[in-house]
Amino acid sequence: MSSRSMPIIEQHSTCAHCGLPVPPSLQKAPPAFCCNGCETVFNVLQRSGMDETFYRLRDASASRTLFRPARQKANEPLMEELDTDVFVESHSSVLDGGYHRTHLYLDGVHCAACVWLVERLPGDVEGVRAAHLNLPRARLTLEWDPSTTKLSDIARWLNGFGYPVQPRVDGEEAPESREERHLLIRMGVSWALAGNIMLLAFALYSGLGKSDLGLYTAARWASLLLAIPAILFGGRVFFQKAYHSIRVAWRDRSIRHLHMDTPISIGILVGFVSSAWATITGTGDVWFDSVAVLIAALLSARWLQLRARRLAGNSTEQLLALLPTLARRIEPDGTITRMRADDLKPDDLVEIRAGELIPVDGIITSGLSLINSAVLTGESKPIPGSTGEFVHAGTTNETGRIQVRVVSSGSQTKVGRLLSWVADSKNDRPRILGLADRVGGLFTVSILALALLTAILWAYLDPGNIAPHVIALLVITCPCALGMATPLALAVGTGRAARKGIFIKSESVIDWLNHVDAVVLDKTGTITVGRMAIEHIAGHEESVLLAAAIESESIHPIARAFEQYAEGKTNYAGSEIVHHPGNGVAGRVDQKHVRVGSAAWIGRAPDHLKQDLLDGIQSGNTTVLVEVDQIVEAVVVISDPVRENASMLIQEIQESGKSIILCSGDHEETTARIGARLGIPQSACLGRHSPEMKRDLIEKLSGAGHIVAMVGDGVNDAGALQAAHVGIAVTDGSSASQFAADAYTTRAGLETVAELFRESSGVLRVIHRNLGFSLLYNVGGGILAIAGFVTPLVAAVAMPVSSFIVVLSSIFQRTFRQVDQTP
Amino acid sequence: MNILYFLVPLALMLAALGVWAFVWSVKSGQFDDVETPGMRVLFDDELQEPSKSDETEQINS
Repeated sequence: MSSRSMPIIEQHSTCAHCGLPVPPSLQKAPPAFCCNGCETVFNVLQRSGMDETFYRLRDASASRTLFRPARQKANEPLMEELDTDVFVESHSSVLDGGYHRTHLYLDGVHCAACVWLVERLPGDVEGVRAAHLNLPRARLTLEWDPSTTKLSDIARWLNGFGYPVQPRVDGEEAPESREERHLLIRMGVSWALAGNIMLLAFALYSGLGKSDLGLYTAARWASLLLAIPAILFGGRVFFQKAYHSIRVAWRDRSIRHLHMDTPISIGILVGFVSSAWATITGTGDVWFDSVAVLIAALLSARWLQLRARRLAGNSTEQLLALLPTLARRIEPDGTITRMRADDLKPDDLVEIRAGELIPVDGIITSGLSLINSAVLTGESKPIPGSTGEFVHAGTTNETGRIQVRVVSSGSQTKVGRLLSWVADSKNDRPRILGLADRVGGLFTVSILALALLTAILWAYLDPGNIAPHVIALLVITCPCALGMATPLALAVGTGRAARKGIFIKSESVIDWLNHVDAVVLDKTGTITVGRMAIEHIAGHEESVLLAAAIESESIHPIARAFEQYAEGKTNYAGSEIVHHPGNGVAGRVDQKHVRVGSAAWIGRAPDHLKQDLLDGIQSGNTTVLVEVDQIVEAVVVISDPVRENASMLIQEIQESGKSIILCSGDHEETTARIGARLGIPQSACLGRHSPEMKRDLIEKLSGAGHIVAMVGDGVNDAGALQAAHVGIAVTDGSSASQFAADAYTTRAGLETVAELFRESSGVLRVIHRNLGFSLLYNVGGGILAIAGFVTPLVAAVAMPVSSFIVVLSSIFQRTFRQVDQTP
Repeated sequence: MNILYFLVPLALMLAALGVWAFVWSVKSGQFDDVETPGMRVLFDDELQEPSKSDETEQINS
């Protein structure tokens, strides 16, 4: 970048922060912005004098994903959770000088500039001693002093720059370190031993024996000494698994339980024991090099696989703050105490203000408000709640202050029970075996049969050579390439997917995805945007802008739809605004008297708008009238809009032979109407499904023999995501669904889901290609060994070459290709 | 060729030294994140507070 200061401003049409095009309505003298989020971040950066380095670093390093404008609102319940003593105690370790260390996961970090900005924390926020960001894992390690600084202040600082803290934590220790480090050490040590054994083997292959018997013997003994730690330390992983699988197979009397590690262990052990015997007795061939390389290569494949899985999210992580943790209890004397929601008892009274999450299941005792239960039920339209109505924890109190009498709190609430079910059943889903593992038993049996055949054959041909030929067969058919075929292809595939914002937690997902024949889609937030917006206007558009001016002060979802519509289009300001709860809003704009509200409140619509009003009401959408100076000017239909290209992507999924079921907690008519628009048959549109019903639906489908994929985004889908063969969470933030799902995307919408289906078949093709080649190699090697052509030298060449081909085939797979993204 | 009786064990000892160094670097967490440290090179030096180095140590331990 030639100029050091703000290189992007020169072009008027792109956003000064993110470089996306600026919509026409926001065009102005530079710096221009594509949205408010970008403008805020730009200003914050400039005020704190960090702008220059930030933009320079961002341009200098390739961005990992599309640069996303910042989200501004902090997750309030999460902020409260972060400040509780319980959180500080259980998720941080105490350091010297009163400092605590904790790990936070951040959203939206993806390039060098993000690292730089986040690591400015110690200089910018008092009480923070060190901040260390691990970019691939998006994990921030923080050392701060709880007595001077609140964790939520740090989180708000991060949020201000567009890096919201994710509501997930892991235990005291970094989760990946133990297992991954151990495996990495095992792998490195194995490669070092294998390399040295190979060097000695080169000497032996090049004819050392004939010239110098002393060196020849010494080289064989040195190889043996090096091979012992390779077998004991490196090979232990395989022996343990093989032993376990043999025990299970014996118990169940079924060879199908024999794991792929069984033939691997047989090959390693036979190679080692026969070589050791040959060394001690001074006769016969040694296979130390083949055995050692085999162990190192297989450990490498496993380490890659583990690493790919770790990046996609760890099962030990816990999800936080889905329930608000603090509540305002009204004491008998009328005063209000702030306390933990978990400590509330039935019949306590709590106060909930407008815009807050409801912390408990309970009954409204006073007040009137709109309750949005989208997070729990998927219903996009808020419903009025008044005295006597039951409200659930986790839902949002949209408009007014209410008092609620507690019925149950904490894990006893509806959402608490749902989440504890997800957490409990997280680990007891029956593990399905990988493709290679499934042939493990068959493979073992075939090899043993072949060994018997070889023994019989050579008993006739040359009884003195039975043992060497059988050993050669067992060593060369040791399934090195076969063992690497699946993990490597999957590790590369999932790694690439992760770069595109698709995180696959377990390898079996790829396998299942190719067999899925029923896809259950959630509606709110998945197919639709999950937010109210103006869908259709009949009449004067100008009047809608006037209406937006008087709606701008309200936090009602309908008001927000107006606000969003008018954003950047108008400078009208409303005055004398009066809210009429349940009916609408009235006020004065530009010398005119404006009213917005339901048809029942405003009155009759003029003849030319009557049909539009009727259509709007019949469509099941919220329909309001706009009246300017006693004349009804417009009919506005407000709905939760369907995402762009949803219909195309649904068609793509349908064309690949999968049936689609739309399942939503929303009203039947709304669900059916959206289904009809997307070409989903009416019989497959199911409305009014509670989280439990969704889960039951999935279980019913899989009971009927279907392989089911569930796509959802909210807490209400978590149970269903967990129950499905493949649960895919589509969310641009973090939620319980991400925790429950097998795969999740960081981009909302169905695009990533279609891609996941498309590309997973590509990954499976690579796996099949690898497996086919490996089997070919094993069959070829087996034939050579039976014919008596396999010597240690042949094995030393053939085995690494076969593995290498599998590695190349995996690395150069053409799945999850990066399309050009302009950052 | 008798020199090999000395050279091969010597080479193996050097290899052992390499293995030890590798194990140490893994255990001190240097392989936990191989991406971010490369980016820190790009940052301006003014940010490096004097106490930074020992803190990094602590985080990695």
